Amino acid sequence: MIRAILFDFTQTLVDSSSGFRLAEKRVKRNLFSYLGLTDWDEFLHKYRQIRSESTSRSIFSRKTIWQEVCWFFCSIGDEIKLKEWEDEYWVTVDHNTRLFSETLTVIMELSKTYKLGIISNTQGRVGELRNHGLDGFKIIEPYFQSVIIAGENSIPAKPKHQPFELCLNQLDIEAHESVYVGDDWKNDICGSMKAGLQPVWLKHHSINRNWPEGEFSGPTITSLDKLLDLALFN
Amino acid sequence: MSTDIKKMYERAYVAFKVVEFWPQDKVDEMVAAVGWAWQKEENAMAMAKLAIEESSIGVYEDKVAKIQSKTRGSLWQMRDVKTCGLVRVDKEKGLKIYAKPMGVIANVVPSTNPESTVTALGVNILKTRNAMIVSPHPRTKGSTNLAVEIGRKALIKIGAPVDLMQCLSEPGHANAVELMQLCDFTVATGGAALAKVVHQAGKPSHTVGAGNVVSMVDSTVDLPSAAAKIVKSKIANNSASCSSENAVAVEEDAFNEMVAALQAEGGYLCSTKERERLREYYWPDGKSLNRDVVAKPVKHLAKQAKIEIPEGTRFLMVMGGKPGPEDRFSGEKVSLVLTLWKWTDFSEMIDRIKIMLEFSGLGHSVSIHSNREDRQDELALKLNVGRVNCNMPHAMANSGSWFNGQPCTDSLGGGTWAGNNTSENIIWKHFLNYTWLSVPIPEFIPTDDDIFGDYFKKWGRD
Repeated sequence: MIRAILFDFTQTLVDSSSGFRLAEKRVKRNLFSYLGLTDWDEFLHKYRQIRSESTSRSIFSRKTIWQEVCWFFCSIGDEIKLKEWEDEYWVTVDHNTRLFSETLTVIMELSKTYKLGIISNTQGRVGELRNHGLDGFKIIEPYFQSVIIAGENSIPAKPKHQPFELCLNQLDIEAHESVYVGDDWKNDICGSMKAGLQPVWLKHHSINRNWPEGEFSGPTITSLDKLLDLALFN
Repeated sequence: MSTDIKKMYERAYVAFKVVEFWPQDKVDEMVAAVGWAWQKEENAMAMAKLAIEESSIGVYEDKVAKIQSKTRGSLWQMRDVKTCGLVRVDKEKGLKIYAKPMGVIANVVPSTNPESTVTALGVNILKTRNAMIVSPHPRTKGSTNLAVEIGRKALIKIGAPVDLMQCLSEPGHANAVELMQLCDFTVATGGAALAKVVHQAGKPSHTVGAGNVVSMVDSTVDLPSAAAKIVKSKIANNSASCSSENAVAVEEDAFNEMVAALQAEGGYLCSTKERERLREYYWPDGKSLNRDVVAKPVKHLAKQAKIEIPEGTRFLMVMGGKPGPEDRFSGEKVSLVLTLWKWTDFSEMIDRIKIMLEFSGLGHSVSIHSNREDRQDELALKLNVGRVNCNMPHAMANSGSWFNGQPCTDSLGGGTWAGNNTSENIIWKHFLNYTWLSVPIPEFIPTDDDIFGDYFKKWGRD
């Protein structure tokens, strides 16, 4: 019997895709110009490779990632400039992040019956900025009994099992008694499955992206309100 | 902190402790084993081939030659050098001086010389009984790792601790910084920005500076011969070396003949319009050097800048405008473009070179082709550079060769002018600490006259 529903945050409870897209576009242009490069394709390929490798090693700080990009292209990133770009990056993301239209309604409904939790990877924010985008959505916070920011404070990042287990412990719930709703194939679906939870893959209809292919026999939904109809809750 | 790098340091430290008190003959045997392996033709070829594949920087044959010459040159120069235990006795002063290793040294290597920086510095680091952990450039980690692997195999062969030499498998800024923070010393071959990162790591270090070599030429030399030497140095490795000439400053009386000599050696003099197209390609934002130009073949450069060059062209030439940041051609280009300057007053040209060096390359080196020793001396006295090479191909001479006495290395200190700790060519002596043992000598206390005699004669005792 399902007793808890755990969620990822970005692109699951909120839509920050356009914010990230805009912020990434801006910083890529800045870096490309700063590095004095002329081959955009080579730069983009390497940028994406370094970003992917960094996040797979739980390095989420944008400044650190950009510093690695600079290093590859034989430059040392100007600390002040990189910090400015990082601040600007998160301001752009935050200003363009919204709850999905159905998020609050669904959370309110689910909270009547289930314990709720959030397990989200750190966004690598530092300093005076908000530590995580979640801080800007206090309205939904009261409905969650456990919030885990993984990838910092000695908590390994998803898809490692530790953040899932930590959340379950806080809720006093067994893995098989809980569902995990997320959008990322590797971190959310594979990670929660491996930790013994029952994943639900959210490919929100309002998000324009190339969803990765993955062999998944579990439920896939296109909006949060479809959760209420799922058989595994009945 | 990354567990892997910490573990690497621990392994390196254990290896270092094994060799810390090795006698000279055992150390020299180890150095010979590793040096022999590195300079072997098949190994040098393998390293050079991989470096070119990874980076597209340089020329294969030149790289092979460089790996071999730097390794062999370093070994030859250090052959009788004592680096272990008691190395000097001064009986008169009652002093005995003992050479000691530093410990584990981080060797941060560039993408331009990913193999020879390992081999040239590696033999010096081993000679001084230190362990080395190499931080490759991400672009050329394969060739750097190969160099270290070859060295490790040689260590195994003679029964020396294999972890005297290791290499980061995942290079990058964060890992390089972590390594430097852990190690006992760092030697980093790169520019001013890298030097800053190294110093921020907080450990003692040697860093190097960027080059911006100007080659002075006067009418006292055989101009075709000077041109041949300059071009030999300029085109080596497609000008990847910081020691390749960026500019030639020619005495006015000899200018036309020198330009003709350079053209005979494959130089193409760009027109004003072609110069402008080249400038736009080199500095698309007006300020930052386009990375695409570094050590690329001249045909590539000409094609990108839409300049038609005759068959047989080996490098491009442009006339210099105003020295300094307003004319980027007066700075370091690391490519097959030579800037030409004309002078009538030697001292005035030195003043222009000072401006160029302030813009780029202060502390590195300068070249002169002149049979006037007074001019060679004037250049050395007035310019803040670590090296002046006379009547030689500069790239070959600057870091030591078979035909001059500059110490053989791949890393050139630029002194405080470049934010470095030394202005010398970095070799074995830069990886040692010393203990000075002192015993009593007959006391001698000099009088005022002994110390200030000459001063008193001129100024009195007031």
